Amino acid sequence: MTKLFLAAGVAALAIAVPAAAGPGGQGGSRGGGGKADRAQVDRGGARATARFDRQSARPDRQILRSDRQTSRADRQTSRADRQTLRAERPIRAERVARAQNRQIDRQAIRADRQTMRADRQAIRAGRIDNRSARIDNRASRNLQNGTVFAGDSGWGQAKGRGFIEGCPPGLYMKNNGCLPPGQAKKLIGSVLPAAIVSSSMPIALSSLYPDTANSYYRYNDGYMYRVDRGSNLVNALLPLLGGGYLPGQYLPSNYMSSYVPSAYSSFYPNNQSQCTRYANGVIYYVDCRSGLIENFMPLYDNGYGVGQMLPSSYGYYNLPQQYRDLYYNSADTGYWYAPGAIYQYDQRTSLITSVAALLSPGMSIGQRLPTGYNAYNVPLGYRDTYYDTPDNWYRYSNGNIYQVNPATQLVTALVASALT
Amino acid sequence: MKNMTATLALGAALLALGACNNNRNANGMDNAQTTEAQKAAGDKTVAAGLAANGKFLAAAKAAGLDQTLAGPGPYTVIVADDSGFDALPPGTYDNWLKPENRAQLTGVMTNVILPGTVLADDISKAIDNGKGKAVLATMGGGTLTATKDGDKIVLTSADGKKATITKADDKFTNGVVHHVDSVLM
Repeated sequence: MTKLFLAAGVAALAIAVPAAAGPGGQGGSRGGGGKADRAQVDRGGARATARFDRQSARPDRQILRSDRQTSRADRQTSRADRQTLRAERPIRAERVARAQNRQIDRQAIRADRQTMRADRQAIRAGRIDNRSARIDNRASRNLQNGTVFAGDSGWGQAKGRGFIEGCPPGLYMKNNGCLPPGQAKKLIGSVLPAAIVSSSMPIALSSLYPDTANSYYRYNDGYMYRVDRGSNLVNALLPLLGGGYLPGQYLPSNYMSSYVPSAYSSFYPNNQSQCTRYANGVIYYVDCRSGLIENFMPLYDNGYGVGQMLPSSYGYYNLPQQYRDLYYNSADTGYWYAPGAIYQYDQRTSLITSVAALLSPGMSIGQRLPTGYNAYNVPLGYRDTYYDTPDNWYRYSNGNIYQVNPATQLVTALVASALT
Repeated sequence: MKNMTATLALGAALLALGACNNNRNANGMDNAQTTEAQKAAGDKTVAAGLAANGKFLAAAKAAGLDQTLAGPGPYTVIVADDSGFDALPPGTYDNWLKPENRAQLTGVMTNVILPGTVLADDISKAIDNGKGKAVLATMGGGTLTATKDGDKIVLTSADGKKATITKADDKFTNGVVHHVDSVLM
């Protein structure tokens, strides 16, 4: 309001000054009096003008002063604001302190968790140790007594249900005197346990492992033992299970780049979810991420054969259609097909007792004639019917006779089954 | 009378159909095997035809292939004579017969067994068509290369071992045997 009045005053003066000064100045200069008069008049006029100017400048200074006061007040206000903000700073510091505290708390919790984890691991390690000790004890009892679980006092019966004749079902099914897996290897150089001494070779395999004057053979837990008659010590152990790596183990990393041979790749495809790898005559099914072996398929041509044990997952009949009338399962004998062969195995022990038939990778209609089939190979009994002409060839593979186009070398038809 | 004739004709037709069905195998395909050819094959299997005390048969038994060679087949078997086994480095044959070396023996044995019946004449024709050589697939997944040395057929393994067929076309019910002078390994 003060500013408004001052401004109004300044404006009124500004309007009045020109109106008063203008005619005086002009009249003086144009009136035409004497020099002195004119000088007096001029001097008097000048003083009056100067006084008037000073008077009129006074409100301006007051305005400026007022402005300065206003800006000072503003500065004071902003200073007060800054002080207020400064006063608020301790709150932020508190927050920082609180965050630091939280971090410390979290670190403490993490440390606690690590301690707990270490404790758990220690407990687990203790359990594993105890388990190993139990297994060792059981094995040693096996060695001493021949069998542990047989008999009324076995802990198996004492512990409760699910045991067969005092033996855990899994071990009972192995029919090996309840010897835990993995303990067999420890028997090399030691006296053959009584339980294994009486565990003779399966009849179908006894001709392959005949006892001699110097040694005799016994079978147990997937292994064939050769025992020296003189010392009565186990001097050789033949693993009857194909390959060296088992499900649950990690396939060595150098084998992860060893892919399935092309002849078998259609049987064992390799894809993102299931990696198939080949090593030492065995195809491994491996978890692509972890490298853990999930299953394996030994091949006949290298490491798989008579005297070896079929993996437990081979418990179903899988023969190609054209061979089913020739080889069918009975109570004693079973047949299993894997690329390369049809195996005959003992139903009781799962040991392969014979190779019933050899199979080639085979032919399929529309496929190019495989390498090595340029020579005519149709069985004698069919040669009068299926003989090579300029338009058609005939080739035998896995019980079937196929027709081949000589020009394109493509298999065009399956014309007969040679299995009768 | 007419009715009786018709009935007899129908019966004859049924019998004929029955005979046709007998000529089909379990897979429902025609059995085109001729009687003359069956007679030509004799009445013995390859397993029965091999020398009972011969080293080849002993090796086949050790590899579990005796039942294979006694089975339906047919296979073409390249059989080395005992003199061929004797010419191997000392101890080789005996080592093969050990159970722990069975995988190696299996590899050797399955690579001298070919699918189907391949007579010497068939190999000879394939060599001629193949401009001097023929590649023969084996049951072990490998190949043998056949060439001619004069009138004789020479087989070469993937490792470069050579064997000459000394007696060809021993025919059996489930295949044919060619005798060679050395062991292909």
